[in-house]
Amino acid sequence: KKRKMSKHWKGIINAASYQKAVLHALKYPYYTVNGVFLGTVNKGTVTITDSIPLFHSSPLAPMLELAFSQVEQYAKSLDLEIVGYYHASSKIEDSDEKLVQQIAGRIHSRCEAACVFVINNNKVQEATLAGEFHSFNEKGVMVSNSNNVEFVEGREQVFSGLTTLVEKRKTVLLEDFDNHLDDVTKDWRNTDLL
Amino acid sequence: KNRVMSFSSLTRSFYANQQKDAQTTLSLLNQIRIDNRRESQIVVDCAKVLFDNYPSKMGEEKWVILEQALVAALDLGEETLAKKCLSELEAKFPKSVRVQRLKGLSFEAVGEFSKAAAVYSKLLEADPTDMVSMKRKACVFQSMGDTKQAIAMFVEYLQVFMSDVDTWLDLAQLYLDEQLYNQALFCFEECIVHNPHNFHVYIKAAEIKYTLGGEENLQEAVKYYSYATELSQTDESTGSLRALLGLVVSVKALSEVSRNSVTPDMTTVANWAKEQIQQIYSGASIPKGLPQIVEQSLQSF
Repeated sequence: KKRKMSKHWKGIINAASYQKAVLHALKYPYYTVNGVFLGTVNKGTVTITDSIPLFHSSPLAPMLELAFSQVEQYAKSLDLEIVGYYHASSKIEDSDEKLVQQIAGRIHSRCEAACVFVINNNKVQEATLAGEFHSFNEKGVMVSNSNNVEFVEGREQVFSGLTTLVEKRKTVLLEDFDNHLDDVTKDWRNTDLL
Repeated sequence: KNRVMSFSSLTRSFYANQQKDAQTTLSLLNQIRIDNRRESQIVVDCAKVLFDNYPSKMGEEKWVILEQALVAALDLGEETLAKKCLSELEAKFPKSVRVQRLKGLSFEAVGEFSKAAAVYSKLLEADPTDMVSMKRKACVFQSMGDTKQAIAMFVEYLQVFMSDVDTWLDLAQLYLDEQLYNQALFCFEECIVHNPHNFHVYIKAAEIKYTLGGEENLQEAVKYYSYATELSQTDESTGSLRALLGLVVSVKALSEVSRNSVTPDMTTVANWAKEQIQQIYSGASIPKGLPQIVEQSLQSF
């Protein structure tokens, strides 16, 4: 079900989606973390309304595919789809570019307007944009596109809100898919978190 | 499972109250040490509570807590706390190798890599079998971007101490960080040779085989997941969830690559695994809605 990409790509993201992703990275500053964005696409605009934290370990194929399958089911139940991916490398100066392109590319193959957020480990503790948003060009390669991403509640409110959430130690309460595999009572949907 | 409950419930208790009590704080720190968890934010929060409010309640645990707090503080860039912990430890244990290593770690944390390497080199001169210092020195190289050198140091060590499973696992992680899957797999398989009853390593090996893909690797993945399932069975559980799910997923993947490679035994075992998974998700405290999601997802496998 490929949508025709319009000339102009635009991303819209809400506070909860952004904050959960960065909280996930902050919960495990010493591991590689990743997750997906849920939302809708309309012509060239992708609207992100939720994020699902997946792993805090080197992402390998079997559990990644399993997680995608379950998250897809969850998304369907909310009339949403997987529209993006976020990633924070365990290494300070590295962004795992190749790996991110590989994993996000699979999302892109089913959602042309997919949005990828690559977290910058040097920025993640500041009240600023904690990384770079990307869209995909005609060749299917990720390109920087933070300028075309709009925050529903406004950037300042989202970033200061995040600082408050960190102070409240919401990182402790956030559960990812990895946590769930170790303990099935942990809920990766995090619906009550924020 | 009980250990996970203990850490989880202690964490919840700790953060539930504005006023934190000494006992919960001490127990939580203790549980983290026992489980060998890397939970640096929680450790720093606990340490601050103890140092600020209950300095005398630590008793003999004081030194091990200072060490724990130091490492956590370094992990999070909490320089003031780190300095305090290190100076108290240095004052109490001036000739200690362990404290010297913590000094090296402190240099690493602020990026003073040559000073860190110098500390470790000196320790290694005094004791060439000090494998902890060797690993830290390798990490210095990794931090400086020279992963090749880090890997070379591990490989050299393992040529002598080839049954050191922990070090094989550390090297495996180094390889995984670089997406060098075949090399990581080699390390996990060495671990299997030396530790054939550890199901976790079979799971990691299976994950890599699956990731590498192709008929042969997928067949191996099925085999490794089967071993992992068997080894992880206890009286209370029919096997690790990761292993069970991995089994289902890899049999399916194999069938997509080569229908004929899926033997009747594999199909039987995969169906059995699905039943065990459904059983796990029919338990009492499963979050509402998750069993249905898992059920629907399983159908596509």
